[in-house]
Amino acid sequence: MSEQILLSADKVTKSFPLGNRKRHIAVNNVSLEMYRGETLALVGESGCGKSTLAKLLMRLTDADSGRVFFDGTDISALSGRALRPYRRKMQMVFQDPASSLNPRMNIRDIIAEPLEVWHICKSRKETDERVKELLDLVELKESYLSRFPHQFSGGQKQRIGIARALALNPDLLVCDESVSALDVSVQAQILNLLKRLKKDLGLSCLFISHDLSVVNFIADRVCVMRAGEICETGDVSAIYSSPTHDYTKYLLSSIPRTRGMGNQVDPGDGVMGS
Amino acid sequence: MKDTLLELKDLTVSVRQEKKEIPIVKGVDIVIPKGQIVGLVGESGCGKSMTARSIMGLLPPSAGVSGQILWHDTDGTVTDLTGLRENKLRKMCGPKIGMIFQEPMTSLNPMMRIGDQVAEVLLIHKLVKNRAEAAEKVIRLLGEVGISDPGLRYRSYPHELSGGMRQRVMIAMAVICEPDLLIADEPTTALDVTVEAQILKLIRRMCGSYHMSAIMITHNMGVVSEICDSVYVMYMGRIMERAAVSQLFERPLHPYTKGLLSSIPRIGANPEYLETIPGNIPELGKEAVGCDFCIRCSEDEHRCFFEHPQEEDAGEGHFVSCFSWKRGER
Repeated sequence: MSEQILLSADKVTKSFPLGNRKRHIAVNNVSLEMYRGETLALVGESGCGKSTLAKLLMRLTDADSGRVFFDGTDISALSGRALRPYRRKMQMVFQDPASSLNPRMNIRDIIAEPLEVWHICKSRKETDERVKELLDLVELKESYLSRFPHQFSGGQKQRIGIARALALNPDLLVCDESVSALDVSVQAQILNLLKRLKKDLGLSCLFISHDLSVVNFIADRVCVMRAGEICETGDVSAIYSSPTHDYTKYLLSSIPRTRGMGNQVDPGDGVMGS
Repeated sequence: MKDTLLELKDLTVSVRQEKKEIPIVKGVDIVIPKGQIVGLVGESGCGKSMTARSIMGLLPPSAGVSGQILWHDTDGTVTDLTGLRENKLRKMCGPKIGMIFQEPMTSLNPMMRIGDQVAEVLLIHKLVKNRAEAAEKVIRLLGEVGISDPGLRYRSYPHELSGGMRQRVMIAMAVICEPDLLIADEPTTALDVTVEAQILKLIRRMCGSYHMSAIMITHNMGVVSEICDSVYVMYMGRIMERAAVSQLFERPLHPYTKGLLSSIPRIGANPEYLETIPGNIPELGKEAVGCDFCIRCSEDEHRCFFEHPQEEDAGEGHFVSCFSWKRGER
């Protein structure tokens, strides 16, 4: 893995108004670095700010304070037209495959849309070629091109979502809980696909998940988030074998384990405060 | 049998769609012993929820049920729930059978205080004399399921609670009449791991202290291993394998079960790629002549395509519906 920094955040903070003149701080003074070619996982409970952080990194929302660098450029200072080239380099795969595809568009149009918006291909024929190439990449058949999203299973829809995200050859793929809504056997297929794509295309991937065993399989490094702050960052093997932060230990002990897989730690009956 | 609570015999559920009868559950036999937690696992669309819902008569109007659902009452009488009139069945739901639904967000009434929602069950079934007595009981139970400050929370609305808290309210609602059977339909799927662990522990404790049996419907093998005593693996509306939990995890026999278990990413083992079950679940209504799993199976042989495997005894209470399970034994 090259040690070149692709994306970094410098003390970003984002808060949302709560109504009664208070603000909920979703991301609090977070700094992180992501290297080119690595898969970085963000883990934590729901509401801990992992999705907000991802949106800040992609500049889908603006931070209250702090800066975000993509490939050495401060993208938090850019706006409008200047930001557009960077949009192309960051693509996202969403959680719910059913609601992230337009039900009235067929598969060809869904995957071709980013290509057409960016005027990547010169002719319709070239676009079709590229779409077929993308379908092949995500292991879907060419004959599916004229079908509509409702004719596919959850796993296949997620493959279409991935093909669409890859259409523009992005540097960074952000997967926001992309496998959480899938069954285990389908989840395994999609995880294998993501791992293979990362290897073949040299993608960097920001993988957001609450499932620690999935993260263990796919990530190189892990950031554990809690209540808007990163409490531990490290290599996967280090985090799982010797977690240092209490919260990481607590998360790890909560995973239901199949028998014969390590000892049980009592997660306690209390509720973690936020 | 003396210590059986509920028995599903050759249960078949089919749904009418565009003038066609599509079988969802195809001749399922399940036995729920008293005081045990039975897991029902399978991928989405395999009919596990429909099986559970048929017990409480909560199927959509287009569904047809055949077979028997035998309820063994404490006084020794046996009732077939499929033949029961709706008003009789309603009297069972609540006092005898409680159910926890998957989404705590959508299964609570947003316009009603949570305490009143839980108390409603008691009042409808006339298990208490008045509202004050009901409230007292509800507050005690809310405390028991781990809701802090239950007296104050009694007056909260669902939107004021977190997902885990709402699921606790659902559990309180399901167990307040101290039912004999608790049906939990994916009770932790919408929750975080930490909350999941707490909820599972709570269900286990509730079953112990109220001497309940439970049916745990889930697609998560980890949940099964954590909480269940025995487990049924379902695929395309049929039971593929059934065994005690420790048996199933140590010695999975059916290729489908093996596939399910090996596709779970595990901490500690770091394979380059995960093992997967090839292909997808076939569409509903496309009936296979032979084994339902044969087209995705890695150990298929010629007859798998033409014959239905019968359930075979693999010893130690372990049953499997597969021709080649002996070959697959390691």
